[in-house]
Amino acid sequence: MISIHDTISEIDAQRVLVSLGYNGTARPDEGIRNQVDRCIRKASRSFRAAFKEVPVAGMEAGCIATKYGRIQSKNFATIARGAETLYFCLVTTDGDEEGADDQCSDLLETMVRDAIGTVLVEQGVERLIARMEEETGQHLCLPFSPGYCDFAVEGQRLIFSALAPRPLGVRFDETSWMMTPIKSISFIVSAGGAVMERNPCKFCSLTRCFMRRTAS
Amino acid sequence: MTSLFEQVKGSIVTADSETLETLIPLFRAKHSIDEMFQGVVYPALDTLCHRLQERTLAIPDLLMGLKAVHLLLEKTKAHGFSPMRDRCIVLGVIEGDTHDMGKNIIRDLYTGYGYRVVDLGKNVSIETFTERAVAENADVVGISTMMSTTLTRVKEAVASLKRARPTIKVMTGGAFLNAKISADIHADGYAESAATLMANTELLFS
Repeated sequence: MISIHDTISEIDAQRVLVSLGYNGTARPDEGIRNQVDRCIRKASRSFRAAFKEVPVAGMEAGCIATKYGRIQSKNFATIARGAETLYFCLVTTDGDEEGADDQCSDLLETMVRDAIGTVLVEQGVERLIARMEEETGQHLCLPFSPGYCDFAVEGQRLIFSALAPRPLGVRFDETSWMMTPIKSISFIVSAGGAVMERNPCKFCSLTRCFMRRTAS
Repeated sequence: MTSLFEQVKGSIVTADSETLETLIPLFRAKHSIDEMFQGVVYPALDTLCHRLQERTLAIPDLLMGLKAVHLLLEKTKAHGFSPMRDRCIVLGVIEGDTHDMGKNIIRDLYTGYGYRVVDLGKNVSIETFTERAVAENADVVGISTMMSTTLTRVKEAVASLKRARPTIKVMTGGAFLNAKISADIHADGYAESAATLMANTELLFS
């Protein structure tokens, strides 16, 4: 397992606002914008990541075999067609946003800090993928996380078994599969010499999914 | 000319605490606490929830409005005088889940409407839900979860609460849930969002 500690250049305020619900007709007023900017200025921009290269052992319909177990996802199998290798990855924050609700009595500020933590870890994933592409010279697909699309949340165990016991100090609940620290993202990406299909939503029938990356 | 009721209500909706502070003494000199709740607090929160539902506002705007309500209640020493105060809501996030942002928003909204709220926090066991609901003589228990994997526990909590007191009302809420799932696990109601919370709650008592 390779671990890195990295920093994103800037937390995307617009994404924080979208995460807070300003994604349609609602517009944040100056007070909300100022609060978001103030919290961003105070927030950490660093994240930690771990990843492990996992060779593809075999592919069949709706399933990719690896030495750690099978990835049961028809959509991911479609995206990963032609992939030479997979990377099992984990990104987490430094924990500044963790327990924010316990430290802050102002619910609005807690919510803003929580949204910043969400955006930070998402930007951390993007930064990691860009860095891996640059360093390996391979093309990577978009991250595919357990619990999304047709990849069952139980896939969490597969990723953790490949990385390490409590990688980066992250653990998950055996019943709910929820990770702690809560601002953590585990995912798989496929890699190869050819450009990967970057949008798994194209293959998914959940046309009303709120995470959908294209119009249905 | 805009009435004093409208001015106070408007300053809550726009979270204009400066204006609100100047209006409070004028309002209290003329009106009772009951008039304040009926004529200002409830209508202001109704407006915020309505705008939330039509998506012209987002949750942070509602929270700003709730802060203004809190300021109003502080300045008028009106905490605990709401006509709704005789109803008790017990809230918590089910065991295995620590996503408590939604539950906290619901807590503050119920409090703004003047309910007596007992917040059990997050990662709450079925036993704690049941024991506290009985001990507090709760009218409604709100169980929140953001995850599909904790649904079995929510279902068990509903059954446990009903066994302990068959007349207790149980509401569920959270990203994964919907009215059908809620009905399937024998909950009495489902709160889709803060915007529809009060309507969903009142249905339980109708």
